[in-house]
Amino acid sequence: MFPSPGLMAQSLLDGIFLGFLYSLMALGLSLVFGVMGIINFAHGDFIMLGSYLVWLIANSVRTDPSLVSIVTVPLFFVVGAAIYTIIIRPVFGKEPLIQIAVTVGVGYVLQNTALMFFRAEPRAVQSTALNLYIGLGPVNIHAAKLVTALLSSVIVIGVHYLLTKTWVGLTIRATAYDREVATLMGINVNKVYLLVFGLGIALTALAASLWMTFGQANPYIGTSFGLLTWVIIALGGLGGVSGLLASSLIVGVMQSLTMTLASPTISLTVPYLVFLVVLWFRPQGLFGRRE
Amino acid sequence: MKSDTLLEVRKLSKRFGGIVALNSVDVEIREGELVGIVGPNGAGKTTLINCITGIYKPEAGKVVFLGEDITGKAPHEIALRGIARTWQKVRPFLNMSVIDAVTTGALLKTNEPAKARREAMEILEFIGFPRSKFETLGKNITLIEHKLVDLARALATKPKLLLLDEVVAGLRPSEIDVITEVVKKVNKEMKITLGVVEHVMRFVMSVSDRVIVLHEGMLLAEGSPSEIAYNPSVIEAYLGTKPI
Amino acid sequence: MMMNIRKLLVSLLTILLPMLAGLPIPYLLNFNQYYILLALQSVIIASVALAWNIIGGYAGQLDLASFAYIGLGGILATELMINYNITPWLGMLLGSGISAALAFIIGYPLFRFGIRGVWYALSTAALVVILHESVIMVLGPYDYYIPFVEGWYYLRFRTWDNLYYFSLFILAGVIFLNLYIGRSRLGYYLRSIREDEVAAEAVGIDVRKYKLLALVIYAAILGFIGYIYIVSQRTFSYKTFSGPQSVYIAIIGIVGGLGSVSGVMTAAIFLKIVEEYLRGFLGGVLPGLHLLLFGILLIVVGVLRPGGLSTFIEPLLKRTKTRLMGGKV
Repeated sequence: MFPSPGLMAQSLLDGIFLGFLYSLMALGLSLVFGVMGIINFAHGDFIMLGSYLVWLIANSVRTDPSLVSIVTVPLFFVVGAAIYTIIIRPVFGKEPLIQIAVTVGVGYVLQNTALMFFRAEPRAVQSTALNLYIGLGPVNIHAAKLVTALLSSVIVIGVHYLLTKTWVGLTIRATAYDREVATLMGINVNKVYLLVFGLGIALTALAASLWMTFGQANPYIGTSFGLLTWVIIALGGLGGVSGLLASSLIVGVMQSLTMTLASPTISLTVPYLVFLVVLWFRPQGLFGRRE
Repeated sequence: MKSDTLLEVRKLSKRFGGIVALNSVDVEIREGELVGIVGPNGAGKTTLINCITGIYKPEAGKVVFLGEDITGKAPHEIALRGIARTWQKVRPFLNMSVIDAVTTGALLKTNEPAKARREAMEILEFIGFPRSKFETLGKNITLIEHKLVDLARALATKPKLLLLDEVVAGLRPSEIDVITEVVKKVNKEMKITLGVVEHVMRFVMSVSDRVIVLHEGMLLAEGSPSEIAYNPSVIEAYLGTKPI
Repeated sequence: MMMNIRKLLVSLLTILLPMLAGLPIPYLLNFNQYYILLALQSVIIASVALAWNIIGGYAGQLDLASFAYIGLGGILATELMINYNITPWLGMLLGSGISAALAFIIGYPLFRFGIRGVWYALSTAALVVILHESVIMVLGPYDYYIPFVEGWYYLRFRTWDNLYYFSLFILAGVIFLNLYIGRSRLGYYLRSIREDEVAAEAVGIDVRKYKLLALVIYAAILGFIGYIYIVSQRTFSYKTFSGPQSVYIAIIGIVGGLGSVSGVMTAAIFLKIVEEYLRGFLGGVLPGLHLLLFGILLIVVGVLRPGGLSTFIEPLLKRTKTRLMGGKV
């Protein structure tokens, strides 16, 4: 049974919407890795915990999940800055395994916090203003997904603009390029790192708010989003915003199409298989920068 | 090729993007020699070592060692054939003891740890590393000690040719004197051929039998230390008196 | 000569000591089956963590796929037993083989293309997910009690005692392998790879080959243990392919101290006791609290004491050993 063209078009469109959200999810990760060379294994778990937080707040004060970001984004920035100061900064210069391991530890803590407080139950926000469909020929456009995609792309491009066109961006890029030279130029590298890590985590809160306008929170989306965002970075390299967007769209569409054509289980597996194959056959070319 | 030639580098070129790091360089090192390879920053000295030891793959040219073409072979294969090296920025095994690090090198030619350990001790003693620090972890020793361990680890592989990459960089004058003596001893008593890549002229001039000067990826001059010291083009390259 | 015999005896004792110490435990626990099962699970986890020590502790590769190999080996042995009445003794060997083969297939290209650090860790984390999902796809979301059979032929018994004794032998075997590798050329090579791959290559070490060897040995041990693990969990489930459990093994390896046999063993047993203690007290109120604490413990060790428990235990053991050997070593 081959699905109808209408169904395919719908699936493709959903994939594109999802892809834009993925690019926002991966943005923080790529920023932290690109600038600091720090490998944040807990990235996906921040998105997961952010989603639960959004559910908790949106449901208790009966507001739209996208508005909750006004609270969660600054909160996550502070959390990110604190984690950088307490955990990340002390392990600079230690064995790579230990560096990776501490962020694995952070992820483990977040995951189990969620399991403890929210059990394993999936949660979705009931009242969202964006929960309506616009019919357009054979496809139905989910307003929440459309808005999510639009906002995501605006933010991703906005951050790109910030990095390339502003003084702060120049400082950040100088630090990413050469830590020692940046220090000599009078840049407070520590401050830049604090800012970047905080921003990286704050962006996960934003992505989580948008995700919750149509998705649901459960403890396992952390691992799933974590790996997905890494797949995106591996595919797109750290080159720039175009690579990030392209690979996010590829992953989103790939996932959506396999979900329609095959099964949800396969659609979960496919990005990982692609990831392994990419690692095997094009490791250098696709990553852009590696140690 | 003369019979006592150990290493022959022929028309070696290496590019990084648009930058030519090595431009058709010819170098020959003969058995038992102590050759200094000097040049200002960016002359391609370290690139040359990296191409010889297999860290980089050159775009053109050949590296011939003991009559065998070893161009583009993996670093461990080249080490097995008898070329060892040290690093400009030391690469210590921080969480291993000094003796374990050197034993690792000695295990290239034997697979008995006990025997390798004895050899490691002999080498450390030979280069004058303090016995009391044999069991100290790599992360707890000083820079000069790191340099000595790096050297001992390389010597433990029983190389025929040892390449030292800026071995005195970052050291105090008194420490440079220590290294100078060790390097001479390795060449004279262990009979190991040495290629000493160096930025510090004073050191190279005092140890080398013959000096090769690289400049902007090309061979600029070659000769005895005294010939090189008075060579006008070398002085120009170093002092940069060339009109702009 | 006398010295050598003494040395040999001390080494032998080091390997057998955990086993000898473990033997009277069922008696001390009054053959309480619940506690013996816990002891069995601790011994298995300690064995798994010690296998991890070869790839993670010695070779310094943050492998997060331990339960991929345990699951694969375990599934094979269990399926063979249930469907074809093939003894797990053989099944475990086959399980070991298939896990080793998987490790080779995964590891060869990874190491061939110089994948290391975070990319290695990610690839292994992805491997667990892929197997988890693939197994569901092929076998369905199975989760059931293994049909009851009894006897040494099936390695299953009415009580846990025999299996516990059996697991002590596995532990002794894994300790022996660890110590043997640690003292051999392979051990020196793996540790130097952990410290600096480039420098290791320059002293003639074929980094790829030895990393692959470490991975295959690790996977072979896990594939062998798989069946015993599944039996000790009492259910046969796709959930064996667990990412969080695999991370837990790495936590034990790091908290114990990279490359330290005594540290890793202590960490495995200590964490199991903490887990049970917390489950007993707070399990109803805050399930999963122990996991949360283990995560924090990992962070604390990483930040404050990357040497882990071994920095406390190793000096103590060394002193005892020196005394046993008769003064200076």
